[in-house]
Amino acid sequence: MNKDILVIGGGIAGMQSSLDLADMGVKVHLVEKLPSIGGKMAQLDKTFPTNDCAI
Amino acid sequence: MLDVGRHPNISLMAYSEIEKVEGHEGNFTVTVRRKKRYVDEAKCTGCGACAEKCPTSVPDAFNTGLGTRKAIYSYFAQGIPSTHTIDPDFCRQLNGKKCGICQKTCQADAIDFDQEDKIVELDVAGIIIAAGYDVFDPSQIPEYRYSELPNVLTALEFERLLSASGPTDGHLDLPSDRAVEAEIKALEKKIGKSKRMLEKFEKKFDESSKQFYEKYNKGDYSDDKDRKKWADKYAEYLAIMEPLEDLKKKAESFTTAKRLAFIQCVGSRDFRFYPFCSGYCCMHSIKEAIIAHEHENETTSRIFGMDIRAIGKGFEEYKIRGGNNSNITYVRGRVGEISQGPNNNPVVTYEDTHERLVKSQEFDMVILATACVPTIGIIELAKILGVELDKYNFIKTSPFSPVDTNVPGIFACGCAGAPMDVPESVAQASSAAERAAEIAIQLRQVQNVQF
Amino acid sequence: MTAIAELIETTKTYYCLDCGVCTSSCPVSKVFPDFSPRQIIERSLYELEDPSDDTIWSCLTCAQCSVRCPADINFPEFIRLIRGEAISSGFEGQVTHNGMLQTISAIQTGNIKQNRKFWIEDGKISETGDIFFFVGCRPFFDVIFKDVDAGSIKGAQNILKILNTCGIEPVVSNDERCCGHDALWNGNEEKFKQLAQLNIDVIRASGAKKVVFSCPEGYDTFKNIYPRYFGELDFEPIHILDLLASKIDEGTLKFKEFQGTVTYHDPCRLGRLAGIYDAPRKLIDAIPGLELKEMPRSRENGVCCGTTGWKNCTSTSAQIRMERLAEAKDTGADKLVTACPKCQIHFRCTRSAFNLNMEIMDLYDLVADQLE
Repeated sequence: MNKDILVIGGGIAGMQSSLDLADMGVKVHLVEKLPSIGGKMAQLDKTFPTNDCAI
Repeated sequence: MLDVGRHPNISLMAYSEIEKVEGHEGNFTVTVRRKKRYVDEAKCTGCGACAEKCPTSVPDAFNTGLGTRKAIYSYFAQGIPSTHTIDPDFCRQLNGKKCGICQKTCQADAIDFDQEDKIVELDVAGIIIAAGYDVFDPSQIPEYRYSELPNVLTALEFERLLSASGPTDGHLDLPSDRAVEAEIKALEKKIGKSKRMLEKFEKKFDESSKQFYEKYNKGDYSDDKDRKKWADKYAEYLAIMEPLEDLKKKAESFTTAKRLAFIQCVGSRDFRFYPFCSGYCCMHSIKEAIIAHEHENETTSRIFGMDIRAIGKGFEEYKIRGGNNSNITYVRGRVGEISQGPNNNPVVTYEDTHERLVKSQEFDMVILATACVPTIGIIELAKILGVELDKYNFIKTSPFSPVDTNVPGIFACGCAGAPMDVPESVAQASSAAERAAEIAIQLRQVQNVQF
Repeated sequence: MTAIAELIETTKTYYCLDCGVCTSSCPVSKVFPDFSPRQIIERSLYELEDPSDDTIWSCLTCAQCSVRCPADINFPEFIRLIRGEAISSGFEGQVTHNGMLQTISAIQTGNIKQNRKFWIEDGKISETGDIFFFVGCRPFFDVIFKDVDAGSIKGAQNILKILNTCGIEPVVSNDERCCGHDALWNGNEEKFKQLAQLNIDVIRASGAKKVVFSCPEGYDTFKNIYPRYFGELDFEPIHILDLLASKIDEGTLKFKEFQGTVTYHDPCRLGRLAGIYDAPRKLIDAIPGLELKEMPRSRENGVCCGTTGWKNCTSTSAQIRMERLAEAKDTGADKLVTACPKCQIHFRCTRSAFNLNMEIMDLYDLVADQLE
């Protein structure tokens, strides 16, 4: 029996899931296809409607 | 992003793919292939000295091909992990040529050309699919001529141009101008080589090439072999210099893009491709127009679409603010076609359906608000996981359990399930995390009883 | 429910998004703003459209709007059905050439004796066989369009020569009829059905398994429209360009060198309706020395030659053609090549009427001259 969780994809959704689980004390394996996490969100300059920086 | 990299409870496996999944809720065995980077993750400090010295430039995927990176690269500057990766398609060493410069440069001795893929097996209680989406490829719409017209971009490409850390440092340089500038650079490199060659001759004969060439053309030195070589080299030099001067003159008048057109529903709300509304593109275009105006306040933008879907808290106000403060006008009408105007300027033809008139307008740049479409790898991944896809190939979920897939213990969130914006993705991600935690934490209680 | 409201149901035109893509894509609307596909649909949806509306005859049925329509509305089909309604209410668009061409096709609905082989000369044909060559109206255009140098008899002879070179001696029949394309798109469905039935009977009687076409209209009508009315055909319609493209792939078709540059005009029936874009380009490419210079509006974006079905040839048509010829000229090519006898006639007519300087050539004439 184990209690780890696998998250597939390191974009904004995958990162948020991972952090939430990790903060709950659950061990997370985050697998990302590309060399770095960040996903599409990291490619965005700012976000609407507050024009906050995306990274 | 940084928090993910640092969190003690998160084991990050980037540049990796899921190969096989077996088992059931509470007890999955997952096989992960950790692809070889040819760089030792434990040793690489991410200093970037290797990339600086690498002689091979390739189009940069992170910058949607608008910039270049080296054959050894970090995916983007702030990328986590900062471990560099060698691109096996372009690396000289890996393609049988003599190189290995990165290996000599690396102080940490992290480069390993003999590295192999690693297979890792994980035992997990639950799985969250957050595989994201792809940008619709607009070259499928022939009337927008995306692949022919240089100054027609996708919204994501435009985002990279707007970014201060992007290929243009945040300036809206036109791709057609950047192509000319690249050509100038290439010619200058050639001219430099040619000049060095001429200097050798000039030194040898103690005469300027120009003076010599005039004499040579008059018929002097007609049977001097060495001087003939000199003359040929000078002719070569002139043959490069002329187009170079022309291009340079052309480049003097280059300015940044100031007249922008945003075309909505490119691939979405279109029965030929994806009939659904991608949801975020209206706001995305408004945001891009506002930021472009922030960069240069004489920028004007026109947003063409059937309606502006500003659904969300503060969105309608954002739209109005854009119109009032950022020179945005909203035009009701979907663009029929884009054609090539003077100076590579795209011309947009549309019917202003309020005025009931067909109009054409020239712009510096046209930005296509492309649809959010299922990511290409999702079909294979769904097969491995045994999860069902919907008719478009998004992960199938239901409105009343929006993060549950058909397989118990496997959840989906973000654009893997449906198009959505950042706040919605974040909300779904937290929801999926909670659903997964139910399994993980329940199991822990079971174990507590046992021990 | 009005007749037009019924047509909205059958064509699902109620899906219209009112987006204006059709009108902003339409080559007619750009020149003649009174004609607007979107506004015809809008009026129809509000039950304000009437069969007496003159603008319904301006549509070229070129499908530029329908291939781009995000709601998948087949506007040309909608217009065709409205035209049917208009005809039964006693309205008809303006026919060209005093209705001579409509009359000729009407005669063919009857039991008549024809000589449809008069043009053949030294070409080789068979009485029976597997391959039927549906010649179409091409050889007869010379009679009417001598003044614009239609060159249609020569064109038909050249196509037969090409087929002979490929080792094909096709069946050509005196009993062939007009394919009915014009009648259909002019809203005369009855006449179309009569002609189509006669053609199907003739080909069936010949026992041919394959029918070769050079005319884009005939090909599209047989391939895509006949089955809608008569079910699956017991023969296969083939376009000669597809046939030639496969011969080039096999290496059996060789050409002599020809120094020059051409630009290619995609006929709408051949391109947008039948989807044949690559084969003509492959053929041009296969001729050594010949260079193809594309016009900005090519392939899927190719613009119509300005008239269809010998109706409503107006100043709008002339302007569309003048702009198209100027576009061809701008490519720097010596010749405008097209693969439709009607496109060719229309361009030649405009060229002579406005004294323009652009050579217009039929693709098959070009190919036949270069055969080895």
